[in-house]
Amino acid sequence: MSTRKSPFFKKAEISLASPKAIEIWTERYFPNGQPINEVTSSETVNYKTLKPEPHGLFCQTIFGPVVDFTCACGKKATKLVKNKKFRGYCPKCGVERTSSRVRRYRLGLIKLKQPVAHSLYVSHRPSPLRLCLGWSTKRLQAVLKAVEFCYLPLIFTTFQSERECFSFFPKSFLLLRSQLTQKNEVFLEPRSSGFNENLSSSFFFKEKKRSKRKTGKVFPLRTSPRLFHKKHQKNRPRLVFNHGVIEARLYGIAYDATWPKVEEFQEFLFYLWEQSFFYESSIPYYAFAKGVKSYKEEIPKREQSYALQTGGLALQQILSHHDSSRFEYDLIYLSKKVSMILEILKENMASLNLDYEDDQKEYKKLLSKVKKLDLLLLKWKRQRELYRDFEVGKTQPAWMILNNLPVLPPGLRPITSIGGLVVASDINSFYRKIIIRNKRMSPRNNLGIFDTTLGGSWLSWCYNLRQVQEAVDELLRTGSVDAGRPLKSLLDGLKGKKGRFRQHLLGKRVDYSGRSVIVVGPKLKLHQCGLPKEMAVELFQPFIIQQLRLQGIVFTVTAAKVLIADRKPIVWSVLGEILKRHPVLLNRAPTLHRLGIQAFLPRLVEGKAILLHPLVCPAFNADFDGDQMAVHVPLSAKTRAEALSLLWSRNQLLAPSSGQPQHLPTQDMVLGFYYLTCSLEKTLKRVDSLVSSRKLFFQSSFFLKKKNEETLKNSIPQNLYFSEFSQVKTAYDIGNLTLHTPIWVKWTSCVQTFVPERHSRLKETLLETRLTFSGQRQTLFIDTCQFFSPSFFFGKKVRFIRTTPGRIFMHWCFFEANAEMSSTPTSKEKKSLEKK
Amino acid sequence: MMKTHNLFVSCIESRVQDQGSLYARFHIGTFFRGQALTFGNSIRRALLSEMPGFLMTDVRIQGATHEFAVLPDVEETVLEILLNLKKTVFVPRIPKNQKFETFQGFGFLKNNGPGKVRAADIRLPETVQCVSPEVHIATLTSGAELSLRFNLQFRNFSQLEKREGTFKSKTVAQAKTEDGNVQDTTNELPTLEKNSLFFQQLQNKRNSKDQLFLDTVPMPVQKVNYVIKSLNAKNGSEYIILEIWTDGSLYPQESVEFALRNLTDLFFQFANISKKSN
Repeated sequence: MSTRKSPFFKKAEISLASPKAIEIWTERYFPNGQPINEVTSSETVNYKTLKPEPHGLFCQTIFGPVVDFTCACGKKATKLVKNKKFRGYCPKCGVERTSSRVRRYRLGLIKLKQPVAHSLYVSHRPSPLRLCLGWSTKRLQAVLKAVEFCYLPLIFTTFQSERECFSFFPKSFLLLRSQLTQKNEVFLEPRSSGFNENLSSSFFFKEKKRSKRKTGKVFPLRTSPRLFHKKHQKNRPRLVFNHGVIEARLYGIAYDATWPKVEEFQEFLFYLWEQSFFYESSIPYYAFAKGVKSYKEEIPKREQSYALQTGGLALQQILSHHDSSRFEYDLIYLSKKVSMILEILKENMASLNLDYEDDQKEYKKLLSKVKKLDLLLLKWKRQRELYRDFEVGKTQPAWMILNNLPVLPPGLRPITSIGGLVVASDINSFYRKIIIRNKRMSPRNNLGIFDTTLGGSWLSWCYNLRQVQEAVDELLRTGSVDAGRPLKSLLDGLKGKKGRFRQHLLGKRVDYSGRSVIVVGPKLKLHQCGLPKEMAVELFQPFIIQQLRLQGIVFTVTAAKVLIADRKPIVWSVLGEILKRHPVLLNRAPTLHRLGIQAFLPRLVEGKAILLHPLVCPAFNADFDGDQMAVHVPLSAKTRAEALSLLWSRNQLLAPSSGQPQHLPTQDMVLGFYYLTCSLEKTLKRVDSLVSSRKLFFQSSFFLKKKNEETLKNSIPQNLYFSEFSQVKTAYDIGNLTLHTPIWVKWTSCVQTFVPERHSRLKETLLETRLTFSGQRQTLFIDTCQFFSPSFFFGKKVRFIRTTPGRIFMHWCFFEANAEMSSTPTSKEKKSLEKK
Repeated sequence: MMKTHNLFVSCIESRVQDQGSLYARFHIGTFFRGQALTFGNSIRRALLSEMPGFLMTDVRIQGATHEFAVLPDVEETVLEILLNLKKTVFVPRIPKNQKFETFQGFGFLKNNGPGKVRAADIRLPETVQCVSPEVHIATLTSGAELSLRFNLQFRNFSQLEKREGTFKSKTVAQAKTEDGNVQDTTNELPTLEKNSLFFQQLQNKRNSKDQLFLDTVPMPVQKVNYVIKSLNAKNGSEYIILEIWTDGSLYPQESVEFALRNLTDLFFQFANISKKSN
């Protein structure tokens, strides 16, 4: 069955499972049709031989053989099938002779005699169960622990609702013909009859149909399954829990009613509500008080039961009768109503005059009312959302109550002896506890007063119910303390860092991956990363071997490995060729969003650290104070293509969350830009020093001479004029200019300046305008000066701007480097710039 | 010691860029580890700052008393004309093998409008040639008259340095106070040219008011790049890729040759001195 080595998963879904679904998971039959899935004995293994006990928690019949292809009798499977009837099964012990691996897959089943609430749905906040019922947490817990009780009308306890039937036998079940046994065929039958076509098939239709044919009479309303009548569907119980229409609490009698008291009350009610049979109708009490149960003369069958119910059973009954669509409709209606009331209240509040004391009181009152109503609305909204979730997930609220408990495969909860000491998984003891306690319960829903399963005492029944509930709680969620040692529950095994998900499923060690410290790689392109040679050789070894063999350099894998181990030069050239078209994935530890893992084209570098482009650091939230990153190698061509199309760093320019640009310069880059673009003028506090230099510009040489001495004191060279950027560059290369020297350059297109606020006015004010006799015009600002030739409209305009060599280089890097790419490699240019 | 048979200087690529600029790429080797940087940096410095070349030292324009003046009916301002003049490139008109030591002379330009004035219009001495005749100098409208005269010098770095080196400290201070609106870099890098004959001349001519001063540094080599590549990682040998852009007045090949000889001279002198002092 499940001997495949790696079962192929298309998807995994976490949702509620119906009791039937659980049964189907575990369902397996002997060739003769006898089911084998239920664990009935609390035994585990023989303490001496460590052999599984039959029908116990490690039973070989249920879960599969311990030794491969060997049954419990010790007989090996032979290829000759002697008995066709028992194919694969040992006729003596009933163990299927297959691989022992199945013990890791096959589930067992514990049929709980009383339904028990799934503790995760009770305790988790906000608890879905509580929201469904509209009860308080305290009441819910009390009912589950059989402390409080709720009244259920007879129809609840006697008949299963249409919804419940439907949910227990889902449609898909009908299609599983191969799994059907003769027992299930019963359910298929009524489908063919045209009697009630709109209702799903259930056991009860059949019974009803038969009885109707026999008697030809309509059942008395009180006891008949009127739920299934098309006509009377309106009469179905409509539940609005908070309003107490149906369920009455026992608070009227005694809030803290103890079990004996409730038992007495139960019996009182029981006798009070008992209906007469036909033959009893002569008794005067029945004659005028109650309707007669049946006109048929037959052996009386007691359908009466205790009216007050408790535990998971009560919850299941309520939930399974739940009409969620109608309930949702109700909620919508009510919330509309309430919101209207709220509006009126708010209007009232607005109309109040808060100066008066009376109105203040009124205001407070209204305020508290509004708050309460707001809370109510919120609760209803949550309830609606919950029901929608159930609807969307195609699940039923009633499934939160467990009828069947699956038993974990024994391979996952082993009992082994280590050095003579028997070590058992914690979960085994929980299952044992559940089985033992479950045995004490009665399986029936409708307990009569004289029911033998009660053991003569309602009290002990309640106690047992609580015991089962607690045992299941321990298994699923809470765990328990046994002999001073906390036992791990199923939930503990799943959640947290050491849980199944984070430790074993997500935190798996991956093949073809490495890990190293990152350092900055300022010379990298955005799509590149630096990969240490040693790492690359290890990661790409299979590819190198493949290439070496394809190129005919070596003929065997071992020879290739020797070549690689010796680090022959050919290895590097082959590796370099491979890396040209092979991306790697880089990942930094808290992968909080999609950009936490990106693809790069690797470049071989010396040393042992991975080089990372500084611009992608914000995406990884990485810095270079010792951060580590993991490297993964996509293997197949498909994954490589995917890595390049989806994960490549140059495709991640914008952050997916906000649409903001992702690659913004930070830290060192900003500092570098600042250093490159700052001007010596900035070091001078006084602005008038700038102005004086401007005056210089226009003054005669005599005046200039005098001024020059002053400015030389400021150690700023004045009046350097250039007509082209290349001239600036040449002067800089020779060493006549520093990065920060203020210079004037001819420049016709736009300029962006970053002026401090206090200077901004100065920047914009016109310092000087000159008009010559020939009509030429010169205007002068602090940062620009413009020359206009005589003709006013078509005059050529020449503009000089004040800037620094550093700013020109920056401009050049941004705008002109690309243009020059064709003639000279820019990286070299930059390098020579940086060297200075 | 160095293996001599491994040495090479080879020109890999050579072409004419736009505006008459010449480009060439050399591979120079073989060096031991670290030597390439020493070599590369010193040859770069030598190429950039020690090349001899023609230089317009001062310009006299009729009607312009200072460089921010404006000429009637000329579209360009005097400042622009000066900047345009700076773009012109001159070469000595002599046979290749002959050595050109020093030169001093004048160039003239006289044009009436309307029309465009280009570098080809400049009248030059017999021994000097303009290699960038297309360079635009000014645009004249009708009635305009442009006449200018400039002083042209051929400056040889190494020669001047040898002769004037001793005056250094004094003349720098002088230059600082004197050079006025000359495009000035003295406070940044007191280059040795400032201590030269040129400055003495400059001081003499200072009294004539309408003289406009231009750049004092010849820049026949515009840009030099070098990249160090490893030739053989095991024994650590390296070579240099050297890229040179010149303004067209000399070939990159010549400039490399010249720079190497200059450097050799320089180091050789110090080697002699140190030998003597020991």
